[in-house]
Amino acid sequence: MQDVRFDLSAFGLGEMARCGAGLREAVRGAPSPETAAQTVADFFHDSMVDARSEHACSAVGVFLVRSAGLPAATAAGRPPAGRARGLSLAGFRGTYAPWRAVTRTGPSTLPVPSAQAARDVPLVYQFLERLGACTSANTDGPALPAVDAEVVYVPGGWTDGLEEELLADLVEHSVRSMLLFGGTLWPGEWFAVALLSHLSLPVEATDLFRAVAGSTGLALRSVTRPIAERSPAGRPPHGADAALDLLKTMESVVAQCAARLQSTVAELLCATEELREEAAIVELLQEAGRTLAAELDLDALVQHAVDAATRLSGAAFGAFFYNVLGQTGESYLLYVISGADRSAFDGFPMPRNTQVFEPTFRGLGVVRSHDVTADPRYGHNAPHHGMPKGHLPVRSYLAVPVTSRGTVLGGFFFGHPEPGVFTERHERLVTRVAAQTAVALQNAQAYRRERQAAMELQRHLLPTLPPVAGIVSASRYLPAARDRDVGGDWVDLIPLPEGEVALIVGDVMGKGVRAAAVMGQIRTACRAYTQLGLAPSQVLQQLSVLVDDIAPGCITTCVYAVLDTRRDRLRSAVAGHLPPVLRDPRGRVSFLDAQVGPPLGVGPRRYPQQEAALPPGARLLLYTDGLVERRGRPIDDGLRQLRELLSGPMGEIEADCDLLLDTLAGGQHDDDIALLYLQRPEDTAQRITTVVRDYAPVSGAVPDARLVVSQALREWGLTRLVNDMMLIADEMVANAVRHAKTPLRVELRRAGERIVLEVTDSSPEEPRLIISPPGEFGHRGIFLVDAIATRWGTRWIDGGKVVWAEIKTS
Amino acid sequence: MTRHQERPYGSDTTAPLVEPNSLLPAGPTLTLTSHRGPRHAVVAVNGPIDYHTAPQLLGHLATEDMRNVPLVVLDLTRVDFCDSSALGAFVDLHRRRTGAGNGFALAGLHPEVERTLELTRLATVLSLHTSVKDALHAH
Repeated sequence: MQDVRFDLSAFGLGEMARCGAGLREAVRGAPSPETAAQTVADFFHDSMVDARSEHACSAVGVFLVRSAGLPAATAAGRPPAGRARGLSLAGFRGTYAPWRAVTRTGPSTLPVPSAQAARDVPLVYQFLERLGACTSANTDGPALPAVDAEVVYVPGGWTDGLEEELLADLVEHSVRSMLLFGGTLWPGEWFAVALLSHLSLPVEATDLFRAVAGSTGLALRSVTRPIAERSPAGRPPHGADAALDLLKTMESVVAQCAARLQSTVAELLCATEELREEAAIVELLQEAGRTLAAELDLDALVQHAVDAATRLSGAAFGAFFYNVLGQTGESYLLYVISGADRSAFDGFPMPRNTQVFEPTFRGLGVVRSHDVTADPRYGHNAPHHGMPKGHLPVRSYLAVPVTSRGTVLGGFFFGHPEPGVFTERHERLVTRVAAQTAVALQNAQAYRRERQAAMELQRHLLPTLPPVAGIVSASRYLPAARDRDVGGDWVDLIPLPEGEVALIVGDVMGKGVRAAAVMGQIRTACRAYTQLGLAPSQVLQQLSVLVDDIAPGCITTCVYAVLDTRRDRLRSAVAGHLPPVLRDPRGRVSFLDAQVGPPLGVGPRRYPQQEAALPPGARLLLYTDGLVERRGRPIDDGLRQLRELLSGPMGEIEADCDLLLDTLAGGQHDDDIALLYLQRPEDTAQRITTVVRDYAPVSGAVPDARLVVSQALREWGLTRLVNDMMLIADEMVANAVRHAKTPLRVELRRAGERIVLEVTDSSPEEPRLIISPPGEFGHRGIFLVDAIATRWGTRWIDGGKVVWAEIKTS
Repeated sequence: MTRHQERPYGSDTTAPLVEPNSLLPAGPTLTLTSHRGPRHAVVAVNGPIDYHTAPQLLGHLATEDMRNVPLVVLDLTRVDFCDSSALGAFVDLHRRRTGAGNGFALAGLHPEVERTLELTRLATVLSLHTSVKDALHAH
């Protein structure tokens, strides 16, 4: 019937104006007030909808209060003063039964005021009462039409006084609120419209519906006559025409203003939303900048960078390829992924120098494509001619190089399966992250270089022991567990002519650069005295003078020993140091503490010399006090424990060295530990042979390590072990490349009846033995090592771990 | 005690070495030769299959054509070494292909390779044959 629709849940100024005009239009020409009232009911019922365009009102009632029994159309004369009025339901649409009691025709019109009316239509009655329609005293009413509107919530305060039956009816009809509006029609006549809605209308609606009440009154007045007037039906009085025209104009202006206002509000909301998004992006950028600037760990850094850039670009997934310089200066390519599982890329070869990738890999500029598959640069290279099979789908493509002073540090790559995703803005944002990343990468690299330099310095303080015929040696230097400062501990092993070798361990008290510098000087001087061929007691005397001279008051302890491998004799002198421990070939352990002189630079410089036998099969341990001294453990207990350990069964010397450190220090040592462990092999023909290789964590390390192992074993005449050892080397190196992702060192050693393979990396993660059920992918590597090796294990070193495996040759 | 000279990376390694001022790595090392029959493909592999080369093998067999051929036989006559990555690749191929109703067989295994399969208890899962001919006959 009508094409006018108003969303009652968003009823605004514009709706108010259009509603008024629509009402008058609908009612125009109605033959009787009853017809007009019914039209009004129909109008509200049909035009008021909710947000889903469904009828918002389950029932609409239009109530009239007039002189009882005298419907307006048949009225003939002014109602006598004080005469009772009648309330009738003149128009009704919907399904709300209780109102039906108020019938439309004369005889059953409810008298007002009356208890019956107040009971039958309580809420409407209360509302009319407020308008003054229900007081018998007032007959003429105000000269100007008074209007009002109110919302009654169900259930709510207003409904408290209702009979339960009525309330139950409302609830049953899903009525959440009742909107009541009405006013004076003519003097002595009133109208009220009640909308029962499943919406919970805002209380502000009453302001707008006060105006709608005015419009409704106007519409109804246009077809009813006041009882007082006897002018013929048809045209309203002359002045009303002008007022009506004015009203129409006002309504149209209000509607236009309201429409403009609405679109302005919508734009503002939109702008607010954009600003909010923008603020979030700025925050994300700042956050990324802060995080990247603070991150010195390269792995964490690149992951943060790719995560932030992927979020800012709106990409489905992103990758960051970056260049890493290995310890020997070679550079290799690594990558991290965000937004997708790394396994989605593991199977693909590294990207190559194609037209699509080249600008990024060479740092020439940004590549942004709405549809890379339609890009003229795409798909020129065999064998894939584009993305390899199984690649995550990419239509939108964005790639930004990360460069610093002309050097390409890495590149961001972003993909999205939909075309046209990446805008110029995304490009700008990612370019900013790329700049932040470049700075952060440089910082991290500078930090890494510094740390490596510091560690390098420490390593230099502990020399690689030169090979000496007739002995096998191992040495360790462990900085204090809770202290990163360089200490003054040192060990040294200096080959001399005539099958002799000098063995030294010393400890400059104190920490830091001073201790390290004094230690360096003493060590250099000690080497010089050694070359002069001085006896142990003489060397210590000279050193004592030196310490007094260069570092007075700096207490230094030292053991100086010379082993004659041809005569199997050990001459030694001790300057205030813990005594060397000797284990003879039969396993008896003794401390060489018969005669101990004072520390260097202190007191009388007499360092008595002692001699002991050190034949093949014997071992000797020189160490600093950090090994046996610990807070909460008396030094004697430590020494006793050391004696017990050395009395036990002996294995390969490097492994035994680690066992000593694990058992005695166990990562809890308060002081630095330096130790020199020496073995005289029983058969000097069974020399230890070692092969060492360093690798970048790249897959190519795996076949090379295999080759190295097979060549070494063939050289050693152990061809039958080649297959087993190759498989062990392969699995251990692949495991380090796959999981540790740090530069790695492979060391193969032949020690007597054992072949030991060690793979050292810088990752603290431990390899785990997981047995895959047949048919399951992965985790077979360590299982194979476990099945083939005689024994295998892991040990921790400063800044990483060593995974080792051993095979017996017999 | 002999310590070999540490060797810098040379052309005999296959690590993705990078040109200065660029991020470009080098390539793989297996030789793969495919022979197509009406309902099968025989892929002859030459070289060790390991962590480094397994992706290349998987890539070769991941083409649509290879995925859809009813039977794939890997001729391992010239493969003297397989590590756990190779086994992983075999299991992966076996699962995918049999899952799609296609066949997958290994032929001409060296004793060392067969031992690795037995150690990991995969010999009973995968279809193993002494020769390509046997494999084609059996399927």
